[in-house]
Amino acid sequence: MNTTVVTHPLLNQIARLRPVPAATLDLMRQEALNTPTPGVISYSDYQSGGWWTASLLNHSGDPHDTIIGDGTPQPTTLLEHMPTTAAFLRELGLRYMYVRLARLEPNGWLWEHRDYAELTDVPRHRLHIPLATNASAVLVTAGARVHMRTGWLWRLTPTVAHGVCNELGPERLHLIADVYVDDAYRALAEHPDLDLDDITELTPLSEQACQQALSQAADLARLGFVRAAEQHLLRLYYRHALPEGGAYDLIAQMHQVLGDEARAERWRRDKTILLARD
Amino acid sequence: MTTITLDQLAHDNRPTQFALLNELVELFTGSPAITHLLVRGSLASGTSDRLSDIDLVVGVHDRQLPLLAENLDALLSSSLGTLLPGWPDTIVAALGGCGWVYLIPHSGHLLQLDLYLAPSTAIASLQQRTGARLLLQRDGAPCTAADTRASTTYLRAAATSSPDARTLLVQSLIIHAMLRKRLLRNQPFIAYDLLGQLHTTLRDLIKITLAPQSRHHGWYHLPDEVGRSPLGRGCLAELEAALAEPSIPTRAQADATVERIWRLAADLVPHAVAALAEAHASYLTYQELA
Repeated sequence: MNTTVVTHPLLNQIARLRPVPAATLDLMRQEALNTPTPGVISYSDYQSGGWWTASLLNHSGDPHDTIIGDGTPQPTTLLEHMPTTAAFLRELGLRYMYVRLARLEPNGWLWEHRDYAELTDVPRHRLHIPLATNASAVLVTAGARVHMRTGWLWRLTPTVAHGVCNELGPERLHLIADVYVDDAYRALAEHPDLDLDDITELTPLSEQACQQALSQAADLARLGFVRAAEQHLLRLYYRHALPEGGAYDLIAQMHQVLGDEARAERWRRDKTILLARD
Repeated sequence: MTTITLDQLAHDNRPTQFALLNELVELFTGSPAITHLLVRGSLASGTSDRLSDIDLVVGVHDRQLPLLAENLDALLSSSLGTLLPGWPDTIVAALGGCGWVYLIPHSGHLLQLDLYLAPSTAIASLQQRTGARLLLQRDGAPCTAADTRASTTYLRAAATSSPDARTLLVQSLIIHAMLRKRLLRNQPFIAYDLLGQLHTTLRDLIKITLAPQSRHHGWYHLPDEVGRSPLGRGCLAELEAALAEPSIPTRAQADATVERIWRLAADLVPHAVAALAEAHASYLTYQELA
């Protein structure tokens, strides 16, 4: 049965733009898995750890430089060892802002956030080419889980709140390109679609399930496992359709119940920053 | 200079179990409820290899044992990304607590964690019986008789609880992982025992679904209770076919046995299969069976 759809509420947030030939994909995957460096691991408030980035097109040419900024990037020394990937990028004919390899280890989570908060003046999009993935590696946005399967070039609108996880592994490996909107991009993005088999609509969190999750998290925190308690609540975003920032609100609520107002306030502040509400 | 280089090489080439053990120690040390951490088995005796599991004993204040046991899956899933819920360990000896087996993705492979949770008041005798080596010991609040009663009551109830369909499916994957390891190590006697446990898992899955009220032990009266419907007769035929295979399995036979369990489970307990679908798929990928 054909499950491809060309109209769907999610199409503005995420869509498939075109297939990637299997032979090209295999060679790009091989190149990515054989890079001399895995890149740099980044630590921040918006992720759990296990997020590695190796730059392929940036402003310094150094694959370990992960600073994103406007302008015309140059190939890094890493891309010189990846001829198929370089040719693939060239043939797309797009105007790139930044291109990288992104690895997400098992049990890796990028919590609900928005990107490009400081880069709103010029229209741009984020393209994903999944090179290696698994069924538990998903992107969540607008109350739906989307498994970005290999074999396709995907478009994500990162200014919409979203989160990414690789819950069980093995490693998720994507080629990610931030591109400016121009004629080449418009041509590429002319016929977006989605396959319903890649989408799981999440159900709202019932009051009972919410209380149960809060209670379990509070138990963990009382035992001294505060970080695990917070992560337990953050994961609700990937299992239920929550209001925007709902997982952060629950963490603040838990800390408030436990009498830790300072931590509750920190999470309220983080919510504002991660969801770019300033 | 040479010594430093060798030490560094030894550190760089240490089995991945030590990196995970380090994470576990860091995790549990963060909780004031934890009074002891001990390591058992091959890691403690210095006979481990790259396939070895991690045998960790976690001593917890008696009063808080039930709370930690109830939240252990959530803790380890959130902190370490366990592949499956913990399987209540029916193989480990009775040492005054209760054990769970977890599979944890680590460095591209699945590592097995055998975690034994014991009340603080049972740790001294456990250590004496097993020769486990201490990683952490610290004084917690004194345990009262009521605290010890609370942990004893919980442990008694846990020991007598019957597995549900989800637990049996988890059991099938854990036993399969153990079996593959034993086959790799060329340990036919243990492989024989584990294959028997996989067959028992299949039997129990059929039994709890098609004869949930059965009062008969094990294999007794199985055909009478289960074989009343075409589905039941089909299950019995599958079970008989599995039992007719050689009793010391090859790896392909072990793989086929667990595949048979999940194939039948899709008809018998579809909700449990669906709930574990992603974990099952990941398990097969890690074992290079996908």
